[in-house]
Amino acid sequence: MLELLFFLPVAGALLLLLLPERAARGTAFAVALLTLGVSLALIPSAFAAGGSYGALSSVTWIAAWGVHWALGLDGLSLVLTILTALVTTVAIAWTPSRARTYYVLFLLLEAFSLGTFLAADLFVFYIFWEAMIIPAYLLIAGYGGARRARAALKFLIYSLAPSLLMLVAIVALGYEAFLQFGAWTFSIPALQHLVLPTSVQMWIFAGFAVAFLVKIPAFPFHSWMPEAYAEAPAPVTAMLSAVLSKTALYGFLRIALPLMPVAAHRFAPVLGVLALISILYGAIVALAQRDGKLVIGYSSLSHLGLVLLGIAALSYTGLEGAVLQMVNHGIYAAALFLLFGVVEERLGTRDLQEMGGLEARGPILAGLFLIAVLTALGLPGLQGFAGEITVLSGVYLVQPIWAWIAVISVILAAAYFIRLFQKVAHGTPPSADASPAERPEISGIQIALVAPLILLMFVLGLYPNPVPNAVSRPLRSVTHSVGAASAARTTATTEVAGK
Amino acid sequence: MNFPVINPLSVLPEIILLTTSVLALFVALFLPERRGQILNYLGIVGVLASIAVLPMLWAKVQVGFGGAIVADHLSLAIDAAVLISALAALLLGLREVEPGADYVALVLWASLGMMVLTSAVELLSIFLGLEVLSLPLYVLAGFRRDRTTSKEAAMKYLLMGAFSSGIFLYGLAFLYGATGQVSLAGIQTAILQNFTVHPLFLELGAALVIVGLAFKLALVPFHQWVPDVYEGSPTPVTAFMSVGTKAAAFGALVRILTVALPAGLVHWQPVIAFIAVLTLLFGNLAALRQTNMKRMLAYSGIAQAGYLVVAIAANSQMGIGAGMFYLVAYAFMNLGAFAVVSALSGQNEEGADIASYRGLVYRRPWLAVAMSMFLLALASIPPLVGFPGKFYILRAAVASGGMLLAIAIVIGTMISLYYYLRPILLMFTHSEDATELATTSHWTAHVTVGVMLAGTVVLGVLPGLVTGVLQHAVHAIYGL
Repeated sequence: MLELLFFLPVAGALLLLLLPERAARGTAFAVALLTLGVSLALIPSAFAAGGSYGALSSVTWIAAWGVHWALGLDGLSLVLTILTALVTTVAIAWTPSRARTYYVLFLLLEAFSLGTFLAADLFVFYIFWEAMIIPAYLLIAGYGGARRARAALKFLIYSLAPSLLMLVAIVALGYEAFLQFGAWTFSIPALQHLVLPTSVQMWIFAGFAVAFLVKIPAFPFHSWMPEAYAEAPAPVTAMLSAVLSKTALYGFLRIALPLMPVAAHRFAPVLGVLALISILYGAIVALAQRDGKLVIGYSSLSHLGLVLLGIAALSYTGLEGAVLQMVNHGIYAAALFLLFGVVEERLGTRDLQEMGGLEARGPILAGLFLIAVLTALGLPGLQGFAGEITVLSGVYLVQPIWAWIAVISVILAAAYFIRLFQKVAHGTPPSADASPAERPEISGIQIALVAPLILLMFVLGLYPNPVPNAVSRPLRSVTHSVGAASAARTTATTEVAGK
Repeated sequence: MNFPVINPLSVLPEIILLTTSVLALFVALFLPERRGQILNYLGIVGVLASIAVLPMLWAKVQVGFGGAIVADHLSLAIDAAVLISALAALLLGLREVEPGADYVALVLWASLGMMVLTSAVELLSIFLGLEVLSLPLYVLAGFRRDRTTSKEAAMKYLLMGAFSSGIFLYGLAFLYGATGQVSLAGIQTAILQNFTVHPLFLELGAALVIVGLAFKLALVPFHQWVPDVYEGSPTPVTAFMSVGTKAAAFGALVRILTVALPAGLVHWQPVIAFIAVLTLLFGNLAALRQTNMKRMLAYSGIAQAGYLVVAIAANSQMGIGAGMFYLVAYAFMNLGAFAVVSALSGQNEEGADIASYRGLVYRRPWLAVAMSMFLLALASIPPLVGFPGKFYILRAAVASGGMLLAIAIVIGTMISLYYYLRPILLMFTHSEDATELATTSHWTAHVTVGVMLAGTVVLGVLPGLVTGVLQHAVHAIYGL
């Protein structure tokens, strides 16, 4: 059943190659919708009692190397799986009349992202992690804006090069398993029983962390982001920001923290400071951007920095807030990028100085965009607020200063998002007579597609509990290993002090 | 006088190649010149027959020529790689070089030499193999007599090759002088029992032997001939040289270092590790600046040989296993890439310019996709065969405590991403004023590309298909 989640989009992609070009969009949407259905149908199995995963399927893949084709599902991977399936369903059918290859690549991107969230073996995780980059790259290179070639190559090299450090870290973990258990293994649940010396943990953690920080992205590894986000077509940017960035944050929660808990404590201040810089830097750059798409892009840098801050706090509330904010960001970032894509198409520009007057000409589009903007800036009652407040309170308990600094970004978020909306919606476009698009309003199909996202903004805003409930058990186990490490460290320090 | 037992079974694949080549030369006498292609097909049949007997020999180790030649699992595994590259050379050669008995015979003789080189367990037979492999390749490199670059390639290859043969022979002489033994096992026994004249001679002999084979493997700093020779030679010959020669030299190096010169007593390990790191860093850096596809693949081949030698430097059974697997991976990826170059360039060489690959996907979608796959595999992106290969080597390096080697591999691979990915980007970039590449390519080129692509993908997903077999080859070396 778990495999279905991965093989369904792959099979869909293959099917598309056989079908005529005009059936591509509909088929791709149907496959994505079916995948979403499967991910929802898997909800009960994620919470089945048993091992660390609710559902786990494992087959020996390369026996000689101790590699298993292992997929696992628990609450944490479940929420991100559903998020991925949902965002893909909305984004894949967003733009009409694309070539068949576009939908094939999109489905592959979904399949590999889902695989990353499901992987219960580090070898499998790495394969999906790398494989995911190829369709994303081809989507940017093939369907992006004017400077897409450079942006795509930069994205590719930034994504692939640090992953190699992760590969060495994975091999090293397998070798440590060989030394301690007598057999190579890359299984994530099995590796949790490793007892690693601090120095080994430190550099293995570093190998993973660099790969993850580039992918999120976080300062100072974000320089691929502006170009890739700006040049990619809107639905692809939505996937990059809503889904791909989450694979890296998920990696911290699934791999880096529980497997290297002592190193997590040592590196937490570094991660926290990088997160704070991302939060503030992203917000300040967003405030100064003329390109509307990049305002959203840099706001993502800032908001994902907040998620990282919650992770760096290493407290249960911090992690809980981080996951909640991951889900929330996934939903509103996807909506923002997709809706802004329509805005850009209708007004014929992304330059905020040349935009305006959307409210009068396309009230529904402007209204939907307003809801997404308000959610993103964290208006209480909408979904963004719950995540932010949980992260901040989780961080405040551990590092009050961090929380105070992070709060500044909330104020800045209000400023740049309201500025964005004003520039887009109010006033008259400076070149109003040039070429007012024939249909300034959003199409019916697109309203139907984005409706679930908008609905979720309200539902999860008023009642966010399902997400924290779903992830409570996995997060407890993360905090348990991290807490055990810190307890051990405290004891060790006390002993040293006692002597 | 006592003649040693010959045991023809130990050289059965070689005998088939030799017979085929003689047959080809003979048949050529009665063939009209325009029917020369038949000879290529004859050669292909010979190579296929030779491949077909490999599994039959697998069951039992055959020793021949009084113990000078051994058909064990190591030599059979490497024979397979050599024969596949010979097959590619003959298939691609059908269109790219003037058909004739001489081309077919030279390819078969060179393969014969390669196979003898890896089967030989005695110093003189090793040298014999090396020479039989080299001489036909000097001629093949200059096979396009109408082109200056080809003649230049042949001249360079001949001079450097003769030089390296001399060094190699000198090294063999030292080994013999130091131990009084010509068989590899005998040398080891002599060393273990401390029968050596002087350890210095032994170390010197080991160093010279390593240098001699390093020329054939194109390791830095013995690589200078490679780019010019690879660029100037006809593409099928380049493909053949880059895979077949390296496979054979790798086999010989592994055999000499593990069987004759135990690492605990002869200190080659740091030297090999140093050469490996130097090779993979230099090869990758130099490849960055290339504008010609064949030159780029030449430098990439240098870097790839560096990864191979890291596997030897790991100095463990796992390391040799990793090296063998990487050799198989490299054969598929590299032969595939050269097959695409050959399919695109045909008889004129303009097609080797990287800039001419711009927008290829719109003109030749199948070849563009295949080339992308080969380049991605060379960059070790999963799930293509380069990835498990790299993973295996990293695993061996880490397990032997060679963390620095692992880091060097990672740095080298990071650098390589740029030059492997740039042509892919070009192929997918649309452009109206693209240089038209020759649009006709022979079906054999497509067959070669298809076979190599299948290998690249299937072994990438299921590396377990061959790791078990290759493990036998490792056991053969370590006498398990």
